Amino acid sequence: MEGRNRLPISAINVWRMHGLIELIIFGILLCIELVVSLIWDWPIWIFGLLLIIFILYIPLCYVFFPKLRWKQFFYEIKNDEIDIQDGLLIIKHTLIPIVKIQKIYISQGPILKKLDLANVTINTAASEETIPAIPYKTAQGIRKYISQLVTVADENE
Amino acid sequence: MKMSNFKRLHIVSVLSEFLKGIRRVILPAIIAYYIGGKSEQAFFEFEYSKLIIIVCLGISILYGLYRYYTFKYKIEKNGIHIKKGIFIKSDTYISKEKIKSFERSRAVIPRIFGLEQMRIKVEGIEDNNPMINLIAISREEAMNIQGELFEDSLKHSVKKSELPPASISLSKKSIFLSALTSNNLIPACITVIVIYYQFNAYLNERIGVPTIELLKDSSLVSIFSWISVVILSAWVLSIVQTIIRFGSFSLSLSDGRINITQGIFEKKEMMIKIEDIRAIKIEENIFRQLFGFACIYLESSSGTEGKAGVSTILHPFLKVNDIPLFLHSFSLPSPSLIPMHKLPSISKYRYVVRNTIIGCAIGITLAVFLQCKISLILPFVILYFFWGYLSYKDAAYGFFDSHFLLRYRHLHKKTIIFNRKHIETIYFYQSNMQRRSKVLSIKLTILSNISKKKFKLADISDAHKKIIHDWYRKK
Repeated sequence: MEGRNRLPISAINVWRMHGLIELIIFGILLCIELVVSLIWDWPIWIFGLLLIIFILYIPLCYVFFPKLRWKQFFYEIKNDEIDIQDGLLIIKHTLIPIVKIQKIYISQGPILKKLDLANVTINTAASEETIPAIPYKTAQGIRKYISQLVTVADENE
Repeated sequence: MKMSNFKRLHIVSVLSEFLKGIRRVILPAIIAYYIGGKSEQAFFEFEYSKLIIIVCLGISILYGLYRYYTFKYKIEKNGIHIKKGIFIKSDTYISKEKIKSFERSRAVIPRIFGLEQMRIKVEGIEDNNPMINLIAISREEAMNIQGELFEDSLKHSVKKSELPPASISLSKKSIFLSALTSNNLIPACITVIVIYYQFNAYLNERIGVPTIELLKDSSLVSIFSWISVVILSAWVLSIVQTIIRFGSFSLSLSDGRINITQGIFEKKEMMIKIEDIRAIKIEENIFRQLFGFACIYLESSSGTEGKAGVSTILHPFLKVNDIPLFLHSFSLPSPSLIPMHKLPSISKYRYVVRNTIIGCAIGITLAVFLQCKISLILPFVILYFFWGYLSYKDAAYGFFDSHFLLRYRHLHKKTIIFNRKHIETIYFYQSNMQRRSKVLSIKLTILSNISKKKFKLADISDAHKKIIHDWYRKK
């Protein structure tokens, strides 16, 4: 478990599917905006602007962002802390001491279930961090391993 | 004195609830009366509002009676036992170890009957409600409860301080100066602006205050004159609020706990264990910084204020030079012990440019919204430019032994001191532009008064990232 770990390549597919769902929702809202603009005579440039943003967003959320996020995401589980690096345009590096961990749980939505992946969420008293889209068996292993580290840390305290 | 039977709150708790109900409806009632206007139709609308007000007050009385009859408590050997509810009865036992702090307050009406309110802060009980609220109990009972629940838990959990007990009272002059320079100015300004916006027509008829339409067509000099009147009114309001809140302020340290007493009409007594303190915040607002004064807050896991995330004021008005001695006398870490690193020079341009862009955006938005001349942008650009520069100048960070210090300026200058073991998580953020400038942002989270609090400093040197990381990993 020690050493820097990357997410599996299938995480890119998960994020692409999330991106697709976002685009569908955005598209529906765009259609509603067009209908409302026509009914209530709103300026058409608002629809035009949103359409341009929508068209530019398609390659970003379906192609570039998932790959970029996968490249930049790392997690490392050490004896005394968990290190998570995540982010797209701004890289976020999170340090969570093992002694601060209060809860660890695994969650799996329908997309993750289909690909046999899961999210591992780590809670402290003041924050919540997630290691997304890792193989389900690995997620169970990580949860067990971190729980053991937390127990050892509590005993040492 | 051991209490063996379940007790109810005093019948005056019904009156307290009724008075709370009046406080809740009084502002909407005034607005309904004036916004309704003077026409017959409006009079009918106000009649409708009167009905709603009567119903609200009726509900307050009924709720007060319901609580009087259903809420019972009993102090037992190792904790407090609470029963409440009619249809859904709840029976809760809270052990002494879970009790973190308490606050006693005496508002005007309960004080007439020799009663007070006691709020007991408990670690995570049902519904995430951390407070047990004993609304109307006698002073003797409050002292007994404090003795039974709190004094014993302190003996078991806290090492006695090696320093002699400390005690400080604020003089009337200090309280007045604190009121003159308090942070309440901005909320008071917002209150005055809202009142003006709602009643500008009425105020124009009665005392000649210009309406919003008149102001829009006025010169910049007129606009700024009226803005000054608003700020002055807000300042007077904030002075009165602060004096009422901090009158007779006193503070003492004994047996590992800090006791704070404050208030004129509603006297509050609060107690915080030193071991529950998560961070110390020293805040210098714009006025106080000019004269070398500051306010000290505590971020504690127990907290004493009713709302989540609200800090407790340890000292409302203190000279900056006296802070190290004051903190030392209360066994708290001082910023003078921690060597500070300033931000690298490249951060100066980032702070100034970032703030100037914000100033431009605000100026342009206001000019378009108020349909004023574009020259309105200029004061905002200049203001935000200097604000950016001051923010860079005041920013600093450092650590020594087990303490970490962060200093930054948003509106006020804030210095926060954390203990390593109380920092829940550390985040480092770096964008592409920051990577090129070899800087990054740091954020720390702590638990404060049942909610999380985040403290962020932008554009520190990225060479210090590993050093801070290694410091955080130390036991």
